[in-house]
Amino acid sequence: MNRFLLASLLSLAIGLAAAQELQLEKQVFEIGRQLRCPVCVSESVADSNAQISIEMRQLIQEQLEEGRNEREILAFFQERYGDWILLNPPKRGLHLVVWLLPVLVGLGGAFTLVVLVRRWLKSTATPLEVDETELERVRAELEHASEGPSKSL
Amino acid sequence: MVDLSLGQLGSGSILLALVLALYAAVTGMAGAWRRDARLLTSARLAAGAVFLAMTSAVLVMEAALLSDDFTVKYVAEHSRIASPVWVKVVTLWAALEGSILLWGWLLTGYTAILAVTAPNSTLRPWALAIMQLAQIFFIGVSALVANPFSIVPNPPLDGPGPNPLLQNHWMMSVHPVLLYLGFVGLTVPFAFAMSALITRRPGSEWMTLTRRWTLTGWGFLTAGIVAGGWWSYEVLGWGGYWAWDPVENVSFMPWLTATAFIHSVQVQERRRMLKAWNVLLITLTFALSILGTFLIRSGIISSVHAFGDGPVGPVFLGFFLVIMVSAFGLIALRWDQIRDRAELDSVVSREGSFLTGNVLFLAMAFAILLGTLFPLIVEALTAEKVTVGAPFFDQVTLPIWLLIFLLMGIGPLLPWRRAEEQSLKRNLAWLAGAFLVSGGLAFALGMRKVYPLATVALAGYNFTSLGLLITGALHPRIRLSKRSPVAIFKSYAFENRRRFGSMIVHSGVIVVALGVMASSGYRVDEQLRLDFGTSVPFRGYDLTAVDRFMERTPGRISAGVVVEVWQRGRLVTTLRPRTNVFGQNPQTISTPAVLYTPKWDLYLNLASSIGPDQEFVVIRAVQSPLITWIWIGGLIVALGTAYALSPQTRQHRTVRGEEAART
Repeated sequence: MNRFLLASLLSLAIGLAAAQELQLEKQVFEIGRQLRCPVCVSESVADSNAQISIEMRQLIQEQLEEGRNEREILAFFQERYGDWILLNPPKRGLHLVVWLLPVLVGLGGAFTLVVLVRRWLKSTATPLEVDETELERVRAELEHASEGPSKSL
Repeated sequence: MVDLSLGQLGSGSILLALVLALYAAVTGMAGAWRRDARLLTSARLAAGAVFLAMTSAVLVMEAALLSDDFTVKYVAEHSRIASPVWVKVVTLWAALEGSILLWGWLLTGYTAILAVTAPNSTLRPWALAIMQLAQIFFIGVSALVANPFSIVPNPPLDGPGPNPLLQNHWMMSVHPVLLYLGFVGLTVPFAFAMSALITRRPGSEWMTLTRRWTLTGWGFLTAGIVAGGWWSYEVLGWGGYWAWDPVENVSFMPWLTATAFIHSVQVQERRRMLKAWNVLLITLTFALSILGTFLIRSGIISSVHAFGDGPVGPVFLGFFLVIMVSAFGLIALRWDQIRDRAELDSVVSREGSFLTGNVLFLAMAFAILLGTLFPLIVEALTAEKVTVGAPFFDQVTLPIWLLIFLLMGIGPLLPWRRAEEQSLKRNLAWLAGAFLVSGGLAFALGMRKVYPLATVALAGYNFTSLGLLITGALHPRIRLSKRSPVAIFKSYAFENRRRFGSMIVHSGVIVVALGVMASSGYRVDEQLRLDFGTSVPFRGYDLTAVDRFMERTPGRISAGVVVEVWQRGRLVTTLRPRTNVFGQNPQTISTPAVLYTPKWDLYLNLASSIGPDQEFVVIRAVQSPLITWIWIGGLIVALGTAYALSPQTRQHRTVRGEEAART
C-alpha cells in the first residue's frame, strides 16, 4: 500500500516520461545554462527540473547528435522564443543599455576619481590657509619688532 | 479574569511595543533637542521596554507555532501539526510576516543593547533616536500592515506547513537570521552617521564609536551570504550555490557597499578625507537593504525566495524613499562641514588604493542593481520581456572582481600618504614574480581559460602579499628582540588584532575566490541512466545503483536510491539522493547527496521518478572542483572578523597599536 502510494505520488509529481533517452552529456548543460527555463523563476534550462526544461535539454542533446554547434542551437531557441529565452542579453537594440551603462558608470566613476585626485594633489602645493585676524596679528608683531630697535636707536 | 488567546496576546505585545517605541523616539528626540538628561534617560529605558515587548511578541509566536494554534493567522497559513519541532521553531522566519517580526525584534535588541552600552557622547541621543525611528517602522509594519497575529475566525484543523524548500534542510534555520543580524548591525553606523550630521560633528568620532558594530554587521552579512550559498547547494539540487537570483543580488549589493565602507572609513580616520563619501556609503548600505526587501517582497520581481505580494512592498518603498531623502537632505544641509578640503600626497598610497577600491565596489553594485531592475524597467516602459541572467552578471562582475583582487594584494602593502620608492619596487617585484609563477604553474598544469588562470595567478600574488605583510611587520621586531620568531609572531598576532584579523579575512577571501573559480570554471554536469546493478562511469568514479529506499517521517514521505560510488575498484562511499513530498503539498523536492572531498565534490541528484517496478533511475551527476573551499573560506572570513573584534587589553591597544600604525 505504502509502496503503491509513494510510487504514484512521486511519478505523478515528477511527471517524467520514462521513455526518453536519458543519457545527457556535459555539453547539453553548458548550452542549457545559457537558456532561460520558460516557466521558472531565475533558473536556467540546465538547472531546472521543470518538464519543459527536461524536454529542452532533450532537444539540445538531439541537435548535438545531429552535429549542430552551440551557436546554431542557441539561435534555434532564440527563433522560437525570442531574445527573452537567452539568459545573456544579446548585445544589440534595447539590450545595449544594460551592457553599456555599467561600463559608462564605471568609466564615469574612474573619471570623477581622477578629477578629484588631481584637485587634491594640487591642494598640497597651495600655501597653508591662514586666518585673516591671525595674519593681522603677525603683521602687527612684525612691525612692532622692526619698530622696536629703530626706536632705541 | 479574561481569557486571552495567543493571537490577542501577540497583537497586544506588538501594539505595546509600538506605543513604547513611539514614546522612546519622541522623548529621545525632545531630550536631544532640549539637552534634557531626564528625557534622554527615560528614552533609553524605554528602548529596553520596547525590546521586552517585542521579545514577548516573538515568544508568543513561537508558543503559537509550537502549540499548533491555528487561530493565529501566521500559524494557520504557514505551519503544520506534523512538522518536527525545529521546523516549527524556524517557521517564524519561513514567511513574510514572521520575517519582519524577527527583523524588528533583532533591531529592538540592538537598540536596547546600544542604549545600555554606548558610551555617553554628544552623538548618542540622536543615534538612539534614529534607531528608534527605524524600529517604529518595523514594529509599525508588524502591527498595522502585516500582522502575523491576526485572528482566523474559522481556524483550520491543520495548516499547509511552510514552503517545502524551507523545511527540507536544517541550514534553512541559519542564513536568514545571519542576514538579518547583518542588516540590523549595519543600521547602527548609519544611525551614528546621521547623528553626526545632525549634531554637526562630522569628524571620525561616529565611526570610531561604531567600529565594532560595523564589523559585526559586516561579519554576519558575509556569513549569511556564504551560508545561504551552502543552503542552496544542499537544497536546490542543481549543484550550484549562486544563481544571481534577485534575492541573492539584493543581499549582495549592501554587502558590496558595506565592504567599501569598512575600508573607506579608515581613510577618514587616518587622513580626515571622504567625510561626505562615508556618510553616503553607509546610507546606501542601509537604504539598499530596505530597497531589497521592497523588491523581493512586493511581488514585482519573481524569485525563488518571493513569499508573495502584499501591501508590504509599497511600505518598504516608502521607507526607502524617506531614508534617501532625509539622508541626502542632511548631507546637503551640512555640505559645508563635510566636503573634502582634502589633500593627497600621492595616488600610490594606502588611501589611493582605497579610493580606487571604492569606485570598483560601487561600479559592481551599480551593475548588479541595473541587471536586477532592467527587466522590470523595460517591461514597465515597453511591455517587452527581456531577461538578464547569470551569464550577464558573470561577464560584468568578473573583470571588476579581478581588479579588486589586484588591489587587495597591493593596497595593504602601501603605506599611508606616500609609498617609498625602494620598498615599493621590492614589493612589486615579489608580487609580479608570484603572479607569473602561479599563473605559469596553472598553465603548465593544463588550465587554459582566461579568468581561472588570472584568478590562480592573483591568488598566488595575494598569498605572497600576505607573506610580505607579515614578514615586513615581524622583521624589525625579530632583529631588535632576542625572543624566538614564533614567540614574536604570536605576540604580533595577539597585539594587533584588527590588523591580523584583516589578514585572516583576506586569506579567507582568496580561498573563496579559488573555490568559486574552480567550481564554476571546471564543473562537469551529466545526466546518467543508472540501471540497477550495472555500474556507470562518471569522471573517474563508477556509480552503481544498488537499491531503492523509502522513508516516512511525520509529515514527509521520501523515496530515494542507494548509489555505491567506486573508485579504482574500491568502494568510496554510498550516496542516497532522494526526493520528498511534504504533507498535502503537490511539489516534490529533491534532496541531493554529496560526497565532499578537498579536491572536488561528487553531487548526485535524482532526476526521475523511482517507481517500484522501474529497472533504472536517472541521476544528475555533477563534479565541482574545490567547491568545499568556498565554505571553508567563508568560515575563515568569519573567524578573522571575530578575531579582529576580540577584545584586547587597553595597554596593548595604545602602546602596540601606535607602533603598528607607524609600520
